[in-house]
Amino acid sequence: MVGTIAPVVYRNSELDWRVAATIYTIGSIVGGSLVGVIIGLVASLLPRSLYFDSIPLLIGFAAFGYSLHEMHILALPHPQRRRQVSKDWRLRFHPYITAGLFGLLLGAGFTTFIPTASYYFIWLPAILYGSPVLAVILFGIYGASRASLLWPFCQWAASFELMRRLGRQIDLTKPIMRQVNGFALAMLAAYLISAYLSIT
Amino acid sequence: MDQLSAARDNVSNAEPFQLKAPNVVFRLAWLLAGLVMGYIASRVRLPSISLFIFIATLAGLSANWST
Repeated sequence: MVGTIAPVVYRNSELDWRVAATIYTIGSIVGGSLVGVIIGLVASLLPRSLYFDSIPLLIGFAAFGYSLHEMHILALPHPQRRRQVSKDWRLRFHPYITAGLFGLLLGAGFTTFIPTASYYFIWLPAILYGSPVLAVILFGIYGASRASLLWPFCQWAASFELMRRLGRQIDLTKPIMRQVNGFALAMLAAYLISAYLSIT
Repeated sequence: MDQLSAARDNVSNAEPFQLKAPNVVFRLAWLLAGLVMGYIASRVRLPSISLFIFIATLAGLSANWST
């Protein structure tokens, strides 16, 4: 996204990258929230009386498994659409519309690559608890936080050389990001399993 | 002088530096630290929603590390 919205892209233009970034951010939050509404509403129709009490345990064990996956100790299924957002939109639409459409798609999360398994742990509670409010909160936060890094990245990447360097640094630090996610999922697992056992 | 230019060629042709995932001992220790943190969070009765919000935030931030 930095390659579409960074100041250097808008140089010598009447357009302002901050407007594009704002539209992208709003699009990302709306995209995430829309997914949350749909999942929450569909999931609220599912019967869950049989397993409702065991939901923390189910999510806890899944989180433990995926913490091992993130740490490259165990390989688990990592479903994702291996697609990028359409580059053609940059040529076809006004830059602000492109920013908004990119925000909508990327904020939804599942339409492109899913780099870390923690994304699945927004879906799991949303589906299993069947609460539209919880789903909208979690997916809306996902969309907002996904867009939030764009601002400092754009602020910093003021030239094509800096943009290229930023892209390389992001690639280089990918293994660290997986480890951080593994840590967070292990934490979620221990929390939920421990909370479940202390109640029963 | 030849040595200098050879060294310069080696540097310019070198593969870019790549960070690798830490070794398995470190990863297991890191996993254990996460489990302990989670256990402590449950003992101090941290609301579960705060942990889900943390995961959603982290997932959103991490999504910027996609290809």
